[in-house]
Amino acid sequence: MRIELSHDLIGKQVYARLSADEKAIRKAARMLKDSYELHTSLSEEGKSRLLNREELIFLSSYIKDIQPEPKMVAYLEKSEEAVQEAEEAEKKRLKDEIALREKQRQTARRFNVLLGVVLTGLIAYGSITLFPRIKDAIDARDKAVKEKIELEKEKENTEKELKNEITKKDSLVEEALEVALGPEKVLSTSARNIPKLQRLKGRLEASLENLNTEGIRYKWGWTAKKELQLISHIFSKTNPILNPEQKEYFKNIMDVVKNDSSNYYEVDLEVHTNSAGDYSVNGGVSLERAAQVARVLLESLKDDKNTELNIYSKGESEPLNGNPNDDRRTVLNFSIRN
Amino acid sequence: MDSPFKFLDAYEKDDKDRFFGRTREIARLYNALHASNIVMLYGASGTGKTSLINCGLANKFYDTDWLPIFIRRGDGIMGSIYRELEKVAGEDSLKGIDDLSDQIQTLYKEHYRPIYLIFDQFEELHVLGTQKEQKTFNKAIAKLLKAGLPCKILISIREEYIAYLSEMEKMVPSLFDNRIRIERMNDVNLYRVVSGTAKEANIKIATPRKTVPTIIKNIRIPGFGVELAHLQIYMDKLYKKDVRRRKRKKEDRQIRFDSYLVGKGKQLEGVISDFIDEQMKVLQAELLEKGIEDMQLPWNILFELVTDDGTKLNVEVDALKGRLFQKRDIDPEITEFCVNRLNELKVIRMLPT
Repeated sequence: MRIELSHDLIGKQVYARLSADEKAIRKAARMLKDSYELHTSLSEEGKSRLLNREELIFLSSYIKDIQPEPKMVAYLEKSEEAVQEAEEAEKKRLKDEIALREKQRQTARRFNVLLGVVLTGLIAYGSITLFPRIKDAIDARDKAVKEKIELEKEKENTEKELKNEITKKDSLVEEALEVALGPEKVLSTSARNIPKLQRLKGRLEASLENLNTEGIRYKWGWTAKKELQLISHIFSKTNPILNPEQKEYFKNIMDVVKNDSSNYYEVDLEVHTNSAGDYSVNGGVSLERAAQVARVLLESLKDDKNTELNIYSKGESEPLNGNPNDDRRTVLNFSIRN
Repeated sequence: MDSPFKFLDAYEKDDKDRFFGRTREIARLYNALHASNIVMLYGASGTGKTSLINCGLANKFYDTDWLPIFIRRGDGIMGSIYRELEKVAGEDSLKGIDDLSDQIQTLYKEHYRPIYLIFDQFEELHVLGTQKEQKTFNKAIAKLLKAGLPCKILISIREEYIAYLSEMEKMVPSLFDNRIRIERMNDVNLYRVVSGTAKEANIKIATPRKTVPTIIKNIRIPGFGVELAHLQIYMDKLYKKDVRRRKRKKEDRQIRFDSYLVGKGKQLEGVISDFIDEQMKVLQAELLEKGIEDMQLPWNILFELVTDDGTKLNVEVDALKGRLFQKRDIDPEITEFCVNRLNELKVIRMLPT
């Protein structure tokens, strides 16, 4: 005949009346059972999950009350053996390490004594015979060093001249680009990647022409670090969530980047809020928006190994001078890594 | 004084006339079993899943339409399934058949009725069972479903244990396809339960539109709802209170619940806790009469019947006697006496063998 409590609600009441010790005994029994089962199932895969020292110490206080089945007793014994073996191995390793250190210390001591003797002998010998020769050798080395310094100076001058020439060429390229880029200002002289970014800009513009970007205000620019910048005004006070058109807009941009496998792009996503309201609330809002946009971008870049995406939630930390509505912006900075 | 209430026991098939408030759920369960070979019934503890099956569903079927096999895990799920099948099978007809699908086929050929394997308190397999036991069971059920036999499976489980079924779902992908959640009763159905139960127990409810809502209000746990078990215990309390009132006033009338009896919305607290304390006091007094002064003794018996997370645990009485003798030096005869009395006092129940 089997019996049980007539309702789970009674079970809860009975459990509540158990002493703390009784509850601990039950927890210990459950821990032993769960570990044993895990061990048994792992054994089938040739692995094991034996109890560690801390678990064995915890269980030892309750074993008498738990009265485990023989298979559990065998598991406990096996765990104890494993812990003992591991401890023995650790002891042996420590002993070996101590012995090795002692040996090294002794060798070092002997070597120091020997070195002392040799140095004393050498000083004595040098003071008698070697010093004049050493002086000659030092003079010869000083002369060689002087000659080397002069040669390096000459080389440096040649490099400087070469650099000046390159800079001159770069500024010519920059001037040409200034004409090509229109009102945007190219701030850097090292413009090697700007033509490539310029081409990327062209492709992005062309792709956005085919897209429904109604309600999305965006503008292009260049950062001080020569990055191509796309500033989008997506989020408003009344629009906290990306709509399908806005998602498509970001997806489209990332697809263009992804399709250019000839360059390794680095894209920085920055999300800014305006400074209306609480600083910490704006921080949270910015983080939430960054997560939304990042999710779309990451989805597009799933299989792309040529693009690196960095995500920055800036909150209200970088306001623009002017219209506070423009502070609420989502910025993508594109650069090329060589 | 006998109580006309079910207390904490589930409703059985014979309780048809006093089972109320679950008409819609019964129909949903019945239809789901027609639509699928495996159905899951889940809900919070105390919502009446067992009663819904044992009474509600059982009365929906004609005996010729189904062959229900009610299974609890006991000391091992596969062993319990075999034992339950053996009970309805012809003499020795399942002997030597190890495979569950083969056993079901044999049984079907004997009865020519669709077999319904009903796993009640299915969480026991995951709370008390081993991983190996769970794996064996999952495999057997997957094979049984693939075999396409006239056999349906109904799993009833407490909702907080549903996550444990992810391993089973891998083997039985349709596990969650047909699932029914049983919710706590709303006030309309609770009204039906109170008035229906009272009518069946031959209790008159004076001004029911006022008295019944007060009864419900008295046992409602704020932010939670009404436990049906609390309702049963509370109605029994009212019943006994009126018996005393009738005796005191020397009245010869039908038992009556009225606004005076139920009070004016006084909230009851600790219904179950008070119930256990009262029953334990009765048993402790009886033990004292037998010369046993250890007031903790009945509690020590109950402690053996809960798991480490407060879930009820079913145990073999002989094993319990042995364990209590070994651990606490309790005379097995005293354990037996306590077990019988706790059963009569409705704190524990004996499971059908």
